[in-house]
Amino acid sequence: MKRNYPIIKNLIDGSQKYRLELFGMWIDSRRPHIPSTFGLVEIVNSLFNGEFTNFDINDENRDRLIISPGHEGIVMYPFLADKNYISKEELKKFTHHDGILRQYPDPSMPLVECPTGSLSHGLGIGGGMAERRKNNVYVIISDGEFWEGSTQEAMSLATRRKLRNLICIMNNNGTSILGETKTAHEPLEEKWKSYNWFTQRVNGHSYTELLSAFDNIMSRIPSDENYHKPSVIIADTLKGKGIKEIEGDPMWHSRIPNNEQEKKFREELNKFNYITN
Amino acid sequence: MSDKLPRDVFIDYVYERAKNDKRIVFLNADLGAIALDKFREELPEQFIHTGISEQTMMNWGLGMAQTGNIVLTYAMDSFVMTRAMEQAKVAAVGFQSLNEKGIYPAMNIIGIGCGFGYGEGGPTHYTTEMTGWARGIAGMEILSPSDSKSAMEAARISCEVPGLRYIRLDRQFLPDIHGDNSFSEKGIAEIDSNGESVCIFSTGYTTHTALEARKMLKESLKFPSEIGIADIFRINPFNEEAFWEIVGKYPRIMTLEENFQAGGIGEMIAGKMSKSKKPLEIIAMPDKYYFENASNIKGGSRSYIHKQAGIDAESVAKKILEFW
Repeated sequence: MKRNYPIIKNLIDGSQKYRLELFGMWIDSRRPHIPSTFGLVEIVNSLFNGEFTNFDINDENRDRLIISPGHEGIVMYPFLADKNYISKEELKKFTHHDGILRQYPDPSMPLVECPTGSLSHGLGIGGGMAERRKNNVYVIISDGEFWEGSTQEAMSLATRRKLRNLICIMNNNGTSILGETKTAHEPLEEKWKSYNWFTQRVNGHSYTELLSAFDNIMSRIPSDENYHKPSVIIADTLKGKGIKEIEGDPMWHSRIPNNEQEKKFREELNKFNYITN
Repeated sequence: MSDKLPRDVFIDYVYERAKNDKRIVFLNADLGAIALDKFREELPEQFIHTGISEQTMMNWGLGMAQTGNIVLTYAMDSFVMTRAMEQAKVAAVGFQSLNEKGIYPAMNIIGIGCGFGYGEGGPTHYTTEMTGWARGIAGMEILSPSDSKSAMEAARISCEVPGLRYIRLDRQFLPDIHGDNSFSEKGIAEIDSNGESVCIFSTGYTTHTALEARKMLKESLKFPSEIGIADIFRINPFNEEAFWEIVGKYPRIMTLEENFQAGGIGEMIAGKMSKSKKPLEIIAMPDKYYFENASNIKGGSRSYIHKQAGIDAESVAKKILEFW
């Protein structure tokens, strides 16, 4: 696929910018879960700024976005501020009494379609949203949610309903709180394919791979064997991507850095380079 | 008087409305009924077989309701919500936050064969806990029709009134007991309101048990005065004003239900009456499961279990005499 340079350049700049904003929320609020969202920055940045979606809040026929693992939904907040759906001040008031942004998103916030604090509801709700509509429904799920049976229920039903406008992005960081997930969930591609989903697997931190996968979904024509299928992009990611000390360490799921760590992590993010990272 | 089952009255009404309202969609987790066949055949765009996946049906329904559809989800009462309690809570959370934004979706959760409706099914198929479970979800409207007229009214409400709603339907024939539709507006209606001694508050099937107990006492001349019977059509939100209006007429109050006491209408009314000095007697299911086969006994397994559990008409009549 061919993308013009300014889009990619903007996306690349976003990788550092959004991480720094999320980091700021982490430090200001001293609330857990934010490092988990670093692994999602390239995916969500592609969706918001890749110029193939319509998340115009005033458009009833907009595409829908559900970030099913609620604790990762925080990743949306800087993007909402960027689109002027919330003020930048709200990011500083994350989880504060006078702020509107909570630990887990719910529809009281702009552009949040459903409550997602509890795991593995998003794919089913997204499936329902994709029914009787032409616009796309993007559902980000985590590999941790693959433990829940309701994920598999929704996978089966979406296939039966031929929901070609349902697009799942699986944030596969390979860990949940107590350790690795691959011994339970792999081989993921075979599993999704066996449910008859149009399945692609990419590096979830590569804009070219992500955009190319989305393009493959958008450019399907009726004669394609995958045309009527729901789609999944298995995006292999690194939890905490951007700060070496926390990358891939499940214990940082809910830890808060001390002053020394904060300084060190911030310096590291200030030097974050999409190309070399 | 309709000779149709409450379930079929409900389905037929929704089918007629769905023919002219494309927003109405019927999600079914693999439960058949002859009355449903024409819906499935003639309105395939509005009928979704979700497979045996009540949890996903609940999620799916929320997604569809949010995007402008009038949703009905349908399965056995023993599974439609019990299997998907957390999904129901998520739906309630979603509905509340959408309502606060001025968006009013419609989703109706239809449970078939409530209580001991599947008489020979055994405890996995009985739903003697659902009043309590459903009452535990904030904002969940609960309708409990007791005859064809109220089943049809529940169907009308499903098609016309937004909200998250749980409707418990009997799959057994129940004769009409409501003269007019005041039960719908008020949520509670007295059946022949000329009582003066004890008023029994009941809902669904057991309202008929209460009526039978009243008849027994009247015919045996054992009871000197008229017994009042009030049928609760809308368990939640409970109409306290209508409730107190009825309570005001009687010195003693009883409740009767095909539900465990925990969270049932008896406990609900006890909560309302905590500051009242009027005596209250709760008749509910004992805290145990029943394993009884009795389809060959008059009345079938449901009646037989009611007798074992002390919620049959004879036991209720006896308790009225003791209470009075």
